[in-house]
Formats: sequence, C-alpha cells, structure tokens
Amino acid sequence: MMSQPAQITLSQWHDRYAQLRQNGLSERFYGGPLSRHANHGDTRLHHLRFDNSAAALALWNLLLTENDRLHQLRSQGKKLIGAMKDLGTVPVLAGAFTDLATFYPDGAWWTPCLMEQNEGLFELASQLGLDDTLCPVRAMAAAFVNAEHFPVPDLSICSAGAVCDDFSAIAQRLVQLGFPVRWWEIPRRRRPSANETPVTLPGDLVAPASQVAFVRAELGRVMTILEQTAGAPVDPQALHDSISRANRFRRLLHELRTSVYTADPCPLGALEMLVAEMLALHYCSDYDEAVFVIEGLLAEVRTRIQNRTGLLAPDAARVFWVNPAADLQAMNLLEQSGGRLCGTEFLFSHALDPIAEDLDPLEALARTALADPMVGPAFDRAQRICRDAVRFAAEGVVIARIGGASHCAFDMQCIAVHVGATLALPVIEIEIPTLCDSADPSIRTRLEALVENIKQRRHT
Amino acid sequence: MTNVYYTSAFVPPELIAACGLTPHRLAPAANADADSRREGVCSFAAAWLAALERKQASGEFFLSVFSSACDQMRRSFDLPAAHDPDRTFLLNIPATTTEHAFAYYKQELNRLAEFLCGVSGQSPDWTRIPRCTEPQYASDSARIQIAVTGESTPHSILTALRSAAARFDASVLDLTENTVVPETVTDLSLSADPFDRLALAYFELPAIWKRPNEYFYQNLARNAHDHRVSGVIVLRHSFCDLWRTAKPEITRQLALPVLELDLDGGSTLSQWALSRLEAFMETVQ
Repeated sequence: MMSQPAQITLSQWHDRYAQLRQNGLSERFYGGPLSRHANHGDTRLHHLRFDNSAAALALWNLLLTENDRLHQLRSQGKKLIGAMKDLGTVPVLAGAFTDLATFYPDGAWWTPCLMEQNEGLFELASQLGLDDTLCPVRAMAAAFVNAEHFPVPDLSICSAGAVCDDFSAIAQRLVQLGFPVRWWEIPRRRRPSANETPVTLPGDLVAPASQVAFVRAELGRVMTILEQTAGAPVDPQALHDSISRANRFRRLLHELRTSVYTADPCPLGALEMLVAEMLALHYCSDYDEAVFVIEGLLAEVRTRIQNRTGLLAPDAARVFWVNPAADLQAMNLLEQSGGRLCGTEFLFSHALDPIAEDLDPLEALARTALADPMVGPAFDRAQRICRDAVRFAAEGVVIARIGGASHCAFDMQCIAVHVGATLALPVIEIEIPTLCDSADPSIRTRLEALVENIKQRRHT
Repeated sequence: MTNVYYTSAFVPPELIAACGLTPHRLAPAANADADSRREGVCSFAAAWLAALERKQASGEFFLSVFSSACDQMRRSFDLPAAHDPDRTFLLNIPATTTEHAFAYYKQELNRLAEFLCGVSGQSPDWTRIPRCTEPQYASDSARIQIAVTGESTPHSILTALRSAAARFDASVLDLTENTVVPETVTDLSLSADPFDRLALAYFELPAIWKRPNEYFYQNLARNAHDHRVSGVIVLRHSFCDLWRTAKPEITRQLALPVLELDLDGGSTLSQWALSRLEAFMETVQ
C-alpha cells in the first residue's frame, strides 16, 4: 500500500487513485482521475512525476479543469475579464464584483507544453504573424483566435509601459485581430531622488510618491472599466474584502513556501510548488477552491514535516529557481539531477507579498502593482533573490531562460553578477524550451554539474 | 558645452538645448564586438551601449538619455546607470495616450530638465533651441518610391538601401524613427507655455510601441499615399519584438508589398539582405 510520500507517474496514479477512493477520498466537483486530462489532450502528463498525495491530486485537477470551469462561469451569467500582464493586481480589483470572473489568458503559454504542441497553437500564432522569435505566450493569441481552450473574454485589460515587448506586441496584435483590449499604464519603477517624497512598497522597495499617485489613478481608470462592464459601481467594502481574501491566500502560500523550502527532507516537489505558486495570480478562476487546495497542500506538508518524511534525499542540493520554466518537466529534471527547490522568483513576487489593508484600496493596490519585479531595475529583482536565497539557505541559483523573452537577455548580466558578488553562490542559466525532450541531456548535464558543484562546496 | 547623447525620437532636443547642453541623436551601428552579439540582446540596444562605452573610454564627459519605449532599451539603462548614475537618465515615456499619460510625460520632461540643468548650471532658456529638423524625404523623380519603416536606423544602412534601389530606378523614402519629428516646435520662446507646447508636440508623435498604436499605422498609410509608395520595407533589429509583428498590419492597412529585412547591428546590409531586396524590387516593379 502506497502511503509514504512519493513521486509517481501518471500510470501509477491509476492505482493510487483507486487506493485513495477506497480509503474514502472525498473530491470536489472538478475531481477525478488525472488520466482523463491526458486522454483529453494534456499528453505531457505522461512524462511528469507527480506527488502522490490527495492534496496534489486536487491541485492538478483544479489547474487542468480551469478552461471548463470558465465556460461554466460564462453559462452561469458571469462576465469574463481577461487580465493581461500585470500578474496579480487586476483580479483583486475585479474580485469586488460578484458578476465578474477574471483569469489570465497569459497562462495559455503552457498549453503547448501540456498538449505537447499537438494543439497547433504555435503554428496558428506564426500564421498570425507571431513567429518563434517571440516567447511562448504567443500561444495566447492563437488561443483567442481558435477559441478552443479558454473562452474568449468579454473584455481584456492589459498593462502597458514597463512590460515585456513580446507580450506587448502580442496583445496589440490581438487588437488588430478584432479582440478589444483596454490598456492601462505601469511606469518603469525608479528610486526617488533626494527632493521627492518616498513611498515604501511591498517587498522592501521604494518609489516616488508621484509614481504611486500615477498608478493609483490608472487603477482608478481600470476600476471605471470594471464598473462599466459589471453595470454597477464598486462597493467599497467589497473591494476591501477582495484585498482581504487575496491576503488570506498569500498568507497560506507564504506558509507553504516557507515550510517546504526550509524543511529537510523536502516535503513537496518542485512541480507542485510551481503550480501552487501560480494560483496566487487569479486563484485559477475559483478563489474558494484555490484556498481549499492550498490548505490541503499545507496540511499534507505539515504532516510530512511532523513525520520527518519527504520525497527527496536529505542531501539534495538546495537550488533557488529564477523565472518559470516553459516546460513543466524541467522541475522534475531538477530533482532527478539531485537538486531540490529552495526558493523561487517566478516574475511575480509582488503577487506573493501582502497588500496593505490600512490604506485606501487603490493606493494599496498601486503600491503592489509598482512592486512588480519586472517593472523596475533588474538589480532590485536581484536583491530580492539574494534575500530570499539567504532566507531559504539556497546553495545555488538556476536562471531559466525563456526563449524569445526580451527580459531574459539581461537577466544573467544583472542577476548572476549581483548574486555572485553578494552571496558567492554558483549561478547557471539554462534555456528551457516548451518541450525540453531534445534538450534533456544538456539540461540534465548542466543541472547535475550545478549539483556537483554545490556538494563539493559543502566540503570546502 | 556638454554633449547629451540619446536615440529616441521622444527625447526633445529642444529641451536639451534650452537647458544649455548640446543634443546629439545617435543611430549607432554595432562594430564587430562579441559582447554586442549576446543572444537575445537587441542589436540596436547593444550598439548604443557600445557607442557610449567608446565615448567613455575616450575620456569625453557626456550625458546619456535612455528611453523606456522598449524593454531592451529600458533594461540596458540598468548597466551604465549602475556605474554612472549622475550622468545617465531614463526618460519614462508613457505607452498609453490618455490625458493622464500626457500629464505624466510632462512630469518626466520636467524631471529631465532638472537633471540637465543640474549639470549645465543654467535655467531653461527657450531662445537657445536648435532649428527643428524637417523630415528628409526622397525626391519624387524616381520611377518607383519605396518606403522604409522601422526603428532608428544607421544612415549607412539607408545609404546602402538607396544605392541598391537606385539600380531599379527606385528611391527610398525614410519613414523610420529617424524622421519622426514634431511638425513644428519652432519659436517656442514666443509661446505662452513653451514647455507645455513642446511636451504636446512630442507626446503626439506616432510610434509602434504606443498602446493602442493605430495612429502609427494611419500615419504610415498617409505618408505612403502622399508619396505614391509602391512597396514598404520594414527594417528590424535582431531580437526586436515590437517590429517583429508589424508586417501583417502594415500589409492590411497599406495594401502594398512588404519586405522585412533583419539588421544584425552592422553598419551595412548583408549580402543576404541585398539579395532579398533585389528580389523585392523585381516584385514591386
């Protein structure tokens, strides 16, 4: 009987699922065997190794049923808002309206991975003028056009200004293809000069009051757009409640990350941690279920820590991971190479930090939006990586390059240099394609070399 | 007078001159520097950084103004700013076109003026501004007009294009960002609010990176129509995402043949680019 923590394949999940059911597994409305997702096209699941807990099952079922649930929400009369690029702020605003459901079409960047490019999104994107020199988020535009994945939102709201060029170009192409997009500006964050009033942002960042005021006004414009879409003015208490809900989720996720990244042996794998962290952006379109899932993961992790059980060898190299991997399998590769995840910076650390609840909501959300790591200098991001790497006792850093992503060209220069100089940790940069099968040997080799380096350094 | 180097059409040279400094807009070509060929780094941004490094190495005291118009330039600012924050400035140019964004752009120009005057030690004097450079359009005497659009482009590239086009009795109309200038900002000193007038003139310039960018395509179409253009060449710097997606909309709005040519940051066109250009010219003829 499999009751010890383990990482198992999709085919092994068949027996494991039966076992859990026999033991009284109670599932949510989107529950069921993982294999059904693979049967419906998510064939990458055949190549992944999953945590064998009921909590992990719920996590994967929540993730892989999102498109179906979005269609259900529409059929229930909800208006769908496609938030784009800001990663964590607009859904909190929209959460104040009961008739709006918000999701990030950006998430379609993983669809070609999950479906192993059998769905044709990249080919369609190329036909639309979005070739493979752009990052995999170009799949989003194709998904809008063929409408075979997420339901086309009633309205898209996209940040502009200090954003990635490829995303900006892709979103503008959507407008040309007939999909309306409303834009709001996020300026490039800078430090205040001596004669400017400083404002502290989440994540120990600082910006001039004038920039915060500008973003606050921009979010006010977004709020007006949401009110027009919802057909009703925002209830101020509802907005406060939306922020409180966001913070509740962020606290749970914070505890999960801290528990997992500091425990030994590792109680939860890198793949599940990546997916769990992504829930912070828009709760996978169901706040209550996202909380249920994260609480379940936390309970499982607490049990494993108490029982001193885990998934990986106690001497696994502690690795801090920068940037989300285009191929989910890369997280398995890290562990198969002898590493374990001890810290992450997935481009949206501002969606992990608490939103101030003692400020006017728009002021609080403006400060959060300006704290976006991609909006400011790469050195700010590097400093946060250093702080978190120390907090989680990381021994090395992996920077995952995303093919075509404009920010990646500069990541290594700024982040690697800063991390190397500040912490004297080994840093490697690896390009992770959407399907890393052909690059598997070289990726493994580089990860294994990093792990060896880390282990050798332990003895010096 | 101290030189101020910049690349973006949205950095007003009039403001630099009014602050007592000498503006120089650069469209540098990369030399054969291995660093500039780093994977993913836009060749124009790399050439710009390399040009600044050469000036630094020569001992020249200068200021540099970066723009936030694209990800690559915005991020490349981080590198020199880390070493020389007092001589490097990033002008945050809004991508959106609302009144609110205009107010922010004016704030940024004010901030730039403070930075410049802090070095020159002078207050803005609007009688010092240079003559506004009018766009240099090609003559209409050639049999065929070909429009060239794209980011700021080294003049050596445009010269190579003109030379190649001339063999087909075609002239090249420069509609790149080289020629994006306000219609008129002369006589600012006579304006009741020269700063406001300057800011508005620059804010309203068309750009592919504006959101939305419909005005860019409308302006391109109008110029193409006015000059009876028969084809369009889109010059793209390597790893430039913003221009990578321009062709479908240019084709749709202008209903003309469109050729995309990739520039690798060098000072001239590659043989491959010249071959493609010749094939395109034969199509257009």
